[in-house]
Amino acid sequence: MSNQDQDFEKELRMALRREEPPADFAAKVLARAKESKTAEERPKVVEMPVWRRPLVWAVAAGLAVTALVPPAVQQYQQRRQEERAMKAEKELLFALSITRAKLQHTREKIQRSTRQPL
Amino acid sequence: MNVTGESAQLDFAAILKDNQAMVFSVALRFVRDRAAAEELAQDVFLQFYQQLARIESPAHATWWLRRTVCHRSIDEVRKRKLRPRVGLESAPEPAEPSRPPDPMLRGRLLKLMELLPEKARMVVVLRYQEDLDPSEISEMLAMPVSTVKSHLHRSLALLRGRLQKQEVCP
Repeated sequence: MSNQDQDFEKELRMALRREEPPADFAAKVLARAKESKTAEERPKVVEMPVWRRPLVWAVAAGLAVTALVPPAVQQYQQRRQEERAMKAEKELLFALSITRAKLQHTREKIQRSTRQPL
Repeated sequence: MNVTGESAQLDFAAILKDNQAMVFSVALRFVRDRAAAEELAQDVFLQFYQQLARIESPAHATWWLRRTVCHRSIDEVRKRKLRPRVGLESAPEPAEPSRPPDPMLRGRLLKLMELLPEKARMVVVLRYQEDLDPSEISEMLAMPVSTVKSHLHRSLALLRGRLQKQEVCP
């Protein structure tokens, strides 16, 4: 390295010498540090979101029950009624078929008896 | 002030006192005005304060602060786009004649430093302000030693060339 280079590096070192910050720099940093520590230590009031509050859940559940259960009960009752009606219809049809068979049988017997000579 | 209240912990106030000039000066070389440099330096110390439990020794503290202020300063300059867009390619060849002492030289050199790209400027600051050798700079800025040396060589050439140009045509 030449003397010129060395001189220039020396000048650069002189130019880039450290500078002191303002006199109150340390005090400001310490104050901010203390403030941040206080903020950390302060108990945090955790505001629970509305959607996570138990009362809100209870009310929502009640509304859901009110809204959903009556139609469901009504549908169930209607279905049961229809089933009973269909069963009754089947029983009636079965009874009628028995009656018809009996009548048919009776009619045939009468006809046979009237044809036979005494 | 032992801010943690435990004797085993490092003394934040002592570390602050020992390192404030270094942190402030590195920031000042980048953000140019003293108020902005002070704000950046304060932020670095507050960030350090939050990491205090992880710091093992005063030397570790200095290393952490220097590395953090380097990266924060580069980020800040990039954010503000303070640097004029002049490439190192425009660096003229170094001229020969030696100059008489110039009382205004410091101001002119600092002004010329603004021409350097962020990384190159940081390499120069760490070399000539913080007196780190190229291998230490390489580790601090996570760049190869050869790149550090190249930055130094080209930056010095640019600064000398510009300085001599100013002397010829002030």
